[in-house]
Amino acid sequence: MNLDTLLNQPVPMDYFAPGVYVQGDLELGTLSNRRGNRLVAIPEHLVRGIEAGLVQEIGKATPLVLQRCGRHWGQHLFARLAEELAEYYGKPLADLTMQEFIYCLTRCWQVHGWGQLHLDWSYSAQGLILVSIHNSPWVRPQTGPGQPAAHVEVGLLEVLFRQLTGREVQCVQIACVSLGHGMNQFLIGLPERLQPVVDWVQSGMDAATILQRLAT
Amino acid sequence: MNGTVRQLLNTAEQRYLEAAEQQQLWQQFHGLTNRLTVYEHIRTQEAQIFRPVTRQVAHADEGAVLAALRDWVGALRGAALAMVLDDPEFFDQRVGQWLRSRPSSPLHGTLGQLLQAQLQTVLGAQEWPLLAPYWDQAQRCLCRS
Repeated sequence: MNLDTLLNQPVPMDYFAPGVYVQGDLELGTLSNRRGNRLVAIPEHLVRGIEAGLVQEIGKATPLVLQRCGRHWGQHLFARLAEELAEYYGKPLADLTMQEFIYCLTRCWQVHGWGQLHLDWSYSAQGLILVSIHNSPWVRPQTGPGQPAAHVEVGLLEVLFRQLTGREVQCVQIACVSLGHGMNQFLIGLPERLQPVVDWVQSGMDAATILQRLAT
Repeated sequence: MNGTVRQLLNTAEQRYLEAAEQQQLWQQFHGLTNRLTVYEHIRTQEAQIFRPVTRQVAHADEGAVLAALRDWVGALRGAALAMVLDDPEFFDQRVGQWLRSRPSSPLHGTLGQLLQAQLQTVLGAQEWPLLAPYWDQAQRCLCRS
């Protein structure tokens, strides 16, 4: 490609740039993304209401159902990301650099109000990726002792990373704002790599200790 | 929309703007026409800005030059629009964060310096100062090392 070709075409920049990606039509009472696909702002009370309703109706099965919801969402989100980013950047998703894709993913989180997503590759030697989400809308802070409760995010991240890696990875939450942490944290990896982490979480081990054990 | 205009519009929701505030709006209006002139100059001279610079780095790896040039083309277009709007935040949100995420290359620095010299020549002493703050913003994003 020469300079003239470069100057005579749009230079794709930040697909999820706020102000461009989300647009509102007051007359129609709708929000949509830059391709015209409808977006819906869900009030926090509805999120809490769905969870409370599930707990009331199905009790202990609630985490599984929420995780399943996250998985469905993840499948659609990945398909949408693949289509939209390929169209905007003019190349298949697989041809985006890892840096570009991660940037888009974190901006996607921000612009939709799903919090701040951060990926940490420090544990790649152990075959694991550490994912942190600040300001998650899915879990109420400080709701008391128990197990991590961001089930929707667990399902969502699991499916997203399965699609990305082409491997049957699993996701385990190791820190949760409901337990008083500043953010939700998840580890993603193949089941055999992740099994000790699952056991540690179930025994009530905190995230700092889990990460310390992994690092040694 | 820049911070001054946004603040004036918010004030005007409560009461009529006073004479000094209206004067600020007039200044914004006149500034906008000047900045649009510079924007048009950059738009029509884009090839003249980039072509001499491209020749000066012709010896470098073509793929790397093209990647860095693409970043600078996007940066200049974003900086020019942010200049028209007189809004550094617009640059940061639309372009700056993306540029900061680009893989760092020594070519960014080399091209940045050459392009700045070329922009100063093409725009001249009257027009360059209007673009300069936004160009500096772009430089800070792309020349991180």
